[in-house]
Amino acid sequence: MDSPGDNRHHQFLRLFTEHEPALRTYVRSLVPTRNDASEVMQEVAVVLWEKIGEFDESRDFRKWAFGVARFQALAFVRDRARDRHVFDEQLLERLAEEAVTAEPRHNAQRESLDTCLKRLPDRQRALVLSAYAPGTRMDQLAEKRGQTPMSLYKVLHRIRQALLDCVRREMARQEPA
Amino acid sequence: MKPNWHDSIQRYADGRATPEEVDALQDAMRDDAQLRVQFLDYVNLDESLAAAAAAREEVSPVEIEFRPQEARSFSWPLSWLWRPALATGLAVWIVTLGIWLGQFESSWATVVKMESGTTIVCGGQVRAAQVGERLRPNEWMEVPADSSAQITVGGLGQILLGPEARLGRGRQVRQLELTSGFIEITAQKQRPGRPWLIRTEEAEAAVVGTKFSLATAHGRTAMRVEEGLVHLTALESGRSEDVGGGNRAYVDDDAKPEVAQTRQGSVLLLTSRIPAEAKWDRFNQLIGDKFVGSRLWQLGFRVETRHFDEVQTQDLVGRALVIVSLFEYGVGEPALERIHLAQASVPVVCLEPAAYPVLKMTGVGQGIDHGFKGGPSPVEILLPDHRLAGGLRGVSDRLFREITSWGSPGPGAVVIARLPARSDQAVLFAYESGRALVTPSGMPPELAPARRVGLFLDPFAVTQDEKEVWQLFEAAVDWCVSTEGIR
Repeated sequence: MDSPGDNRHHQFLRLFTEHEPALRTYVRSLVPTRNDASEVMQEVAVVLWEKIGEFDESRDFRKWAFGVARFQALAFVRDRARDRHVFDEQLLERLAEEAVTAEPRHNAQRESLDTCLKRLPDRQRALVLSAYAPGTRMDQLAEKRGQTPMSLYKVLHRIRQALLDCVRREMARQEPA
Repeated sequence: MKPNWHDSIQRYADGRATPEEVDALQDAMRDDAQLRVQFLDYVNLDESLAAAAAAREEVSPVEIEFRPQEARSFSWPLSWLWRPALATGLAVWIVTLGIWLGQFESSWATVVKMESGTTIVCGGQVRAAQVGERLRPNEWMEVPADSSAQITVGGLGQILLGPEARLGRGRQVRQLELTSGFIEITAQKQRPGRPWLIRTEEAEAAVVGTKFSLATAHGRTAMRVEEGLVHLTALESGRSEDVGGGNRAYVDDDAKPEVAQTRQGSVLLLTSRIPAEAKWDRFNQLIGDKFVGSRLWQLGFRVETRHFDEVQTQDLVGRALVIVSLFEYGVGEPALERIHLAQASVPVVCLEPAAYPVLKMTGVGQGIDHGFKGGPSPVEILLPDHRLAGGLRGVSDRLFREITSWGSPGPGAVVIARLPARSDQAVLFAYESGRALVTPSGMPPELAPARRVGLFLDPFAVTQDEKEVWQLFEAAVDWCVSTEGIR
């Protein structure tokens, strides 16, 4: 039989897993890079886990988790602002608010992305997925392709723009008339 | 010319935008709601592509040496490498001023450096600490889990406050109280007969003039002395020990402080930036790394964390111990080879069976020399009286709850625990320094350059904070850094 600790553990993991993509996008909108988002998400996971005992089950987990993520992300940016040029807090606060309301749209975009990736020419699809593969170094990828990093970025920009356009078209097509 | 905002957004998200571009984008986004929508949509695309790339098996891996694109992760341990940007002259001035101010009863310390989240607490009032601020007698300094701060205390010296530290002035003159967390003290020479006292719930350390760390958590005080001498008293029993440089001491009950010789230096914790694929494993792995780091500072160690993709050979210098944490196949092995960890004369606790072959702790055969299987399994303690057994005996069913793992070490190893009735499947084993490691046939034999321990921590058991898991982990750490019995 599962102990109360097991139940709490499984319940938390279910909730965390369910909301993790949205949380990650939310965090990503507030910090400059994907690596920054990974760092903040690690902190968010730990804080949520440590405080799960204080969480009232009748409350909305998503809202609570977004609150924690917002705090952690803004603290991270404040800490890093001394070293790097990042958006100011006023703009980040606004983005934080708008990222919450954009979540349903982002969910739909995530669902459409798979379709759009399949529509890309094979070489472009392979390139963009290679570029995003964990640990990929753009300079090494460029060298392997016989390109300069700058020209590789330009190619990626075009592919991402095409994907974004495709995703928006897909969403418009799926909207009820 | 009107800027191409889409280009600017991508450059910002790639970390390539110039300060001027960031400013221009920021100004535009402030007034343009549609541009903010574009930005958020782009960020969502960026994250979704990363997730898709990680999930796709069709992606042919690029042969690369991983590296971070940005700042390192795990901010508190790395932050011990104080930012050079902090103006040295200002710090010296503040320290000098702090020492001078410390002579007065109106303040007991001055904040020299700090990271975000450090607070000063007085009664029920909490405020953010500021560099240069003087702490009044009734004020406490608190540092969160992932941060650090430094203060100067007049007549004592420098104190580095690490994870979860809560430090304040004691009731007596020349006394400080540490109610939780980690601190490291670099004390100036003390006048005879008038030592500073650092008090925790369990113990009191009388500083003679030394460099040492002190940590208190879960009813235990741990102290590690780098230089000099500290007179440590267990408060409940009143019994004392003089703890000199190169020793560690624990106080956790009514006995006298338990003192043992130990290697000096900090702990290097190697972790993976790239998570395990299964989401639950990934969560547990993240938490596991955190908990391992916490356990280490609770043992009095200063901990520095590096990801496998960024660690360098020079990171091994000055370490008491290296911990190899969990990684996916293919992620950690190149890094361990790159830094020549197998040949390094620093003790290693290896928590990842996939690293056993690289460290020559087992052969290379997956499923033959080391392996995993899903599901729980009991563990049989073969040598309950060995220090590495951590006091466990008999059969434990608390160690492997969701994932079972094992290694098949060579004859040079001692096996402390194994899967029941599987003499070839050890779950806790160790090589004493100088014992033969596993080398391929035809190759010259290699000897362990320092102690090596193989111990898999099931991430699920770690997340559940299983006491028996941590008993074994602490025993492994303690044995590895011990200088007693080393041949």
